[in-house]
Amino acid sequence: MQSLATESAAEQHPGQGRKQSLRQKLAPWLFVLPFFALYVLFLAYPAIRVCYLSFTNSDIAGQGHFIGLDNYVTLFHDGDFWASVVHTGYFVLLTVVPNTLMGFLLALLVVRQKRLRLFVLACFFLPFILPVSVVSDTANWVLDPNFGIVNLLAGTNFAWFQDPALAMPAVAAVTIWWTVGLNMLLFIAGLQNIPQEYYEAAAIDGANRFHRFLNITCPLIWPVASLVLLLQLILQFKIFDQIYLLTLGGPFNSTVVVLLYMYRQGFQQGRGGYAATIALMLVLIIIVVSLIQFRVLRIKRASR
Amino acid sequence: MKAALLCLAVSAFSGSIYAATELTYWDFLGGGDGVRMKQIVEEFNKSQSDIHVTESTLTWGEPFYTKVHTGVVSGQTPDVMTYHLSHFAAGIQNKDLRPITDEEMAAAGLKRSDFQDSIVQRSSELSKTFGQSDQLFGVPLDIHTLVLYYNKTALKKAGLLGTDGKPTGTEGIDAFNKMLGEAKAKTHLLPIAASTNTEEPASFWRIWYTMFRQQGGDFLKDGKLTLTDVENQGAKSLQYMADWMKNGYTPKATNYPSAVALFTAGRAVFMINGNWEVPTLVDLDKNKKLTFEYGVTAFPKLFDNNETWADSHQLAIPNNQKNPASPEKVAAALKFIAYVVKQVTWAGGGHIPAYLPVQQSEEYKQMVPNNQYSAQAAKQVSLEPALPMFGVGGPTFAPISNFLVPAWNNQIPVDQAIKQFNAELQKFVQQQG
Amino acid sequence: MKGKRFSILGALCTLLTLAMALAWIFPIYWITITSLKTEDQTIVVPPSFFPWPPIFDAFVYVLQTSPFIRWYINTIVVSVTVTFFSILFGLMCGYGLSQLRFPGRNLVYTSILVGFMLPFSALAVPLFMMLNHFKLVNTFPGLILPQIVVPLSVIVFKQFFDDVPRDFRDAALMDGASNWRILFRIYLPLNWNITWAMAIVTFIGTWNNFFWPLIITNSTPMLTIPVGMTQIQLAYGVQFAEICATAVLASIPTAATYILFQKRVTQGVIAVAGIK
Repeated sequence: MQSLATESAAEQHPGQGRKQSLRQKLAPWLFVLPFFALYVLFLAYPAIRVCYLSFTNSDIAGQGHFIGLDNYVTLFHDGDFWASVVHTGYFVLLTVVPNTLMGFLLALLVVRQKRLRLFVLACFFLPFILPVSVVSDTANWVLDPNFGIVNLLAGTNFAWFQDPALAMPAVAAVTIWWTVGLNMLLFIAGLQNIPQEYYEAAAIDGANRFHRFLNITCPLIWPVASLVLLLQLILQFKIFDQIYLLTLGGPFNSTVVVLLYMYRQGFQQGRGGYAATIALMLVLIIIVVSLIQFRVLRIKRASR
Repeated sequence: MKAALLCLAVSAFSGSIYAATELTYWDFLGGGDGVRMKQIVEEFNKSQSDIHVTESTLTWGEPFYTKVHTGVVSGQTPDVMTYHLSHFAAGIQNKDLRPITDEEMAAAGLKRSDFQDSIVQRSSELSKTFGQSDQLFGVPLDIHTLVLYYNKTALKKAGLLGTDGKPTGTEGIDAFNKMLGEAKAKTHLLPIAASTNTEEPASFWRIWYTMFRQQGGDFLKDGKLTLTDVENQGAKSLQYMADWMKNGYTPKATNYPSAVALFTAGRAVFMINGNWEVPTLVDLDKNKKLTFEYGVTAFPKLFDNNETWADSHQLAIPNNQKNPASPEKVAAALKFIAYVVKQVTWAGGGHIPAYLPVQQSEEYKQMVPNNQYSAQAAKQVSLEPALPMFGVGGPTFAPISNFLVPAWNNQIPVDQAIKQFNAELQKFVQQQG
Repeated sequence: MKGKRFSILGALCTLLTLAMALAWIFPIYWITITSLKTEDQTIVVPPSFFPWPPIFDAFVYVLQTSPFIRWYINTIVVSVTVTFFSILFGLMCGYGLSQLRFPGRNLVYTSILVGFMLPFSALAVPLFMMLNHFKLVNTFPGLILPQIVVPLSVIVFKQFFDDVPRDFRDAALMDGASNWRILFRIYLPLNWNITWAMAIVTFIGTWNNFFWPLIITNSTPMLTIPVGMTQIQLAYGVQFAEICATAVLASIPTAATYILFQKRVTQGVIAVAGIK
């Protein structure tokens, strides 16, 4: 259809020779090229480059030579790297599902509201638009062990980000506070897409609230939920900013996550090649885990 | 109005024409130190028209030294910068610093004997060991050290203030601990405000290193790293600190501003901190914001000697390899350096001037509360171990933060922490060959 | 009877919602009022929840002693440039992929889809090396160029353009309009809402970006707000009001954008996430 349209446009100017048609053939590239050139330069090329670097002992300026699989061998035996994978996994566990459920819960509460709707929506969403550094400053001040309002009101002196048992859950809680607004919005959009007639019909059939929720809302919101879960999974594996600002990997390295380890190796110790290997492993992990999740969620949906 | 604007424009314009040499200056000085340094730079710029200095403040610690190193490698360095004496070993070894010859110093009217001897001596030792050079790699600006701040009002109430206006139990660790216990029982205040969280390993290190040194501990034997003392005096010191925490003498996992706030709010009897908090107390006192009378004293002699952690801010010239500094730039930088080290303004930050004519000047001796501690503190200086892994921005802070600070907070046992700390230091030795 | 019970349940629900919303917003309220106290008021126990009169000392101090204004300008330059070009290039590329036929089209689209999956942070090392090679570390181009590449905006625009009825374009082509004219006179106005929404979301996202500026800048005058504010030194005195004032200053632009364009932000966010 479309190609027909383009051709018909070309027929508008007959007899202008082959030159014109070549120009016409290349013209579309003018639209695509500005973005695509930047894309190749700043995304595609680095993506290929990162693979190559993982086989070198480059420093952070890119000076180095080919060393075969040495980085992979080192990485495989690097206990600190595997610890960072475990910590990342722990963080993913603490955030992905809770953040999704919380978003769903808030969405259910917000859609019920009429007059207060815009206000409560803004309250839940506002943290999401704050820079991460503001979020960490806020968390540090509100949760300070000696002067923080939370500890003052509770009469405790928990050092949330300094306690090995509390640090990661505290970072996860801050992350949920910060980002749940996004999930809530997606769920609200999903809830609004459910036709009201379904509920009315069910009510006529005598289904109570709980049954309606279980038999109409849940299955119909599932596509949104699985999308949110997938987005969350990809996002949370990339955890860096909050850790960098709130715990810097401490106490005793109990919160060093993969990207922080990459940052330390690459930008602080200058081991560019090794950092590239770490980055590549993270990409691999993300791909594998999202494929698994994609599969699992699909199967569930199909079985319904 | 228009005329005034015109004048301003003209003067700004002419200023840029006549400033012959432009110097960029990097420092890591925040807070009151930053304000005072800015003031000194401004005054320097106004005092003459040959040199114009533009100051830029970077993050203190490891980030600063990383930026300097990348700058040296890529050829984008400042012309002059602040530097810690404790980072000289690493800086000289990495070739980040340009030697300053005695002739160059003399041309700016400076000589080695003008400066605190202990500092110059260490500096020249480091030059020999790590740079095989007889020159200095920086000009000393100050000495900064650990001091003991105390709440006179609270101590008086508890009967722990001597007739000399100083705390009574400062001779020996047992007397000190007894005093802390009594202070806690009688005042119901926190005995010691100190920064105890892992983000501030330097605060821990200063106290621990002081106690370690006071028991004769040393990291170096014949210029090589030796860890036997860490297992003995080091573990003992850490145990004392862990006991403070267990007894509620120090606050758990507290960050730096909170530690200062605990003291300034009158919630703590003592604060162990660097002399750089002196201006905070001076300002609060001046504005009548303190609910108590405060005092400052040199760190007490808790063990066999009174050695106390100290470091020195230096002014140095980066060793730009791609675009080496011209002789004119070096001369200008030294002229600026000579100006800075002579300013008594800098002592307003609680620091002890390294330039002896300033240190011995009447103006400095009259400064309160600096005169309560500086004479004694200058005598008990104990500098950081002379190895690249130590000092500000050194890799040692990672295992300190990871193992020793948690042991202080009673999160892991002392012996385990010491073992892991030593293992990490051994790794550094292997990495650095 | 039944109706009444339900309305009590409804009221309880509303109350719960309101309580949660207030709890959610409380930390933001708390840093805002802390920024309006003096330093010694911040450490008084019990703390005041409604400090009066507000004190602006902390704001004055932050603006005077840190290069905050400079960081503001940097962040505005970066965010506005990134938003403008990523939207412009996104529109063009989206139009090209949606409406034009040319050799290599599928390849381009597939590779952009793949690029969308790649985590940017994993590419930081080679990107840094490349920009270092071109001497773009610590420069505006270094900050801006990589951030312009937002595959998602291309994908969003392509999908929205796919939905535009063909008749519009055919009619315009009959009249002899060029593709540029069609894009900017027909397709853009038809998708004005989503374009605005994408622009606002891109702006907020760029303003808030922490990771890339952290890596590519190395001197105080080149920092953006989110990185710069973490460099304000804490090693001296009590600075709680100052930290809070910094946070408030850093949030004003994005918070204002959100409050002004609440609907657009919501729409943009849903479009960005819901596209897959």
